[in-house]
Amino acid sequence: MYGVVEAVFDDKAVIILDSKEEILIDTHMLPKPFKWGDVFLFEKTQEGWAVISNDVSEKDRRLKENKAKRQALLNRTKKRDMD
Amino acid sequence: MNRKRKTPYKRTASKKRPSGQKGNHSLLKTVLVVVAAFFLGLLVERYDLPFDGLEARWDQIVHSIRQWSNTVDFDPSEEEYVVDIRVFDVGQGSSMLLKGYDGTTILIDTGRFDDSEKRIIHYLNDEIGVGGKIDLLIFTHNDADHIGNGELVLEYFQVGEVWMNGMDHTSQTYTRVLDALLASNVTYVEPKRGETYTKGAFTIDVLHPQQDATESNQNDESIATRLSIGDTQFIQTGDIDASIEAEIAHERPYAVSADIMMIGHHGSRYSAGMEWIEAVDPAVAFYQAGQDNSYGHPHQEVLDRLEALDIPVYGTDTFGTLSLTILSDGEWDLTTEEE
Repeated sequence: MYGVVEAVFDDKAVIILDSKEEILIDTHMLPKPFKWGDVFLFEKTQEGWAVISNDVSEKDRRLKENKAKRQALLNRTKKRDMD
Repeated sequence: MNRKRKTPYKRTASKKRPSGQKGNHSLLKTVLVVVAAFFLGLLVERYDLPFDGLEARWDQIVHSIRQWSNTVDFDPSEEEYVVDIRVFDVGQGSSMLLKGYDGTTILIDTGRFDDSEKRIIHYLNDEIGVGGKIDLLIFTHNDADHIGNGELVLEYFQVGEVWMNGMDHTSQTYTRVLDALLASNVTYVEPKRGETYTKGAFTIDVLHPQQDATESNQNDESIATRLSIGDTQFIQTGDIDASIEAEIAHERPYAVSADIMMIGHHGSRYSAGMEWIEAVDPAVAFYQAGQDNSYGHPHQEVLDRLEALDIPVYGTDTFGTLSLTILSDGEWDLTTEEE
């Protein structure tokens, strides 16, 4: 399941999984270098959640998706102004 | 425990004008702008002046007229207060509300993403009523300590317009806010430096981000604004650092002076530089930070800079939610949640 690095506090990172579940993970468990907003593929193991892939393409896809949403908002307002 | 006290400073009452003139001010403003444009045009033609330099001066003239008209539009004899400001205690995050004498409400940021108590919702219920009206919601930038629970604010309250900095991200918090914006009917704006907006009795000067903003980092692309109402000015800069503050002060010195200053980036040593504080020259400064936060905010250097200029400082880490009411007789009332 994909999860996004939502915030980093000291040596812990807050990850929000696609299931909406929030997990706290030691930063040393994440591939370096990582930053806020990075998207990783997680798998639940007996020890807890673990990163199994640093999928760059998934991050790019999400970034494009959000850019499109923002553009839709701008277009909606522009259209309303013209009307 | 609630504590009410007068601030150690006192401002003179707003300029008073005879009643019945309110309706003439829009016309007066227009006439003044046209006359100023006419004389500026004459000067350019008569002395063959380069237009480039005059562009900035023109900006300043229009700005001064707007500021003046903002002052005379307010009649202290008709209103109980000018503006009611709440700097909410949202821990290590940011959220503040301004309520104008005309009922206009402006919310700046919505606090942290991991605030399980969803304090922002409770604060707003108390301040504007359940499902109340927010004329403008400014998300200064998309960090998770500024837009947290933003989707709930959009869902539970009647938000008219939303401003964002236009810098995309992949965080779930940001995605949730975008989805809530799409599901709502709000007007969406990405304001830029040099633009001026009117929201009810408020005039809002946009100080940052720049027109040609390049995506560097969220903090440095924060929406910075000065909000004027009556003759009171409130300035906030999100999380921009001191180099950008200095750039703004240098480029738009006439648009940064303010009575009330929100200290940038929760009191980080990298914000609220001396040049900025001197340019703003506030009567009081506020910051928002969590108790015993791991960043060490507010940094002592920032407090020292303000102390050197005799500017009183109040922070949510020490005093809880800060409530400042600018009364129409010129008195300021500051109430803090904690002693």
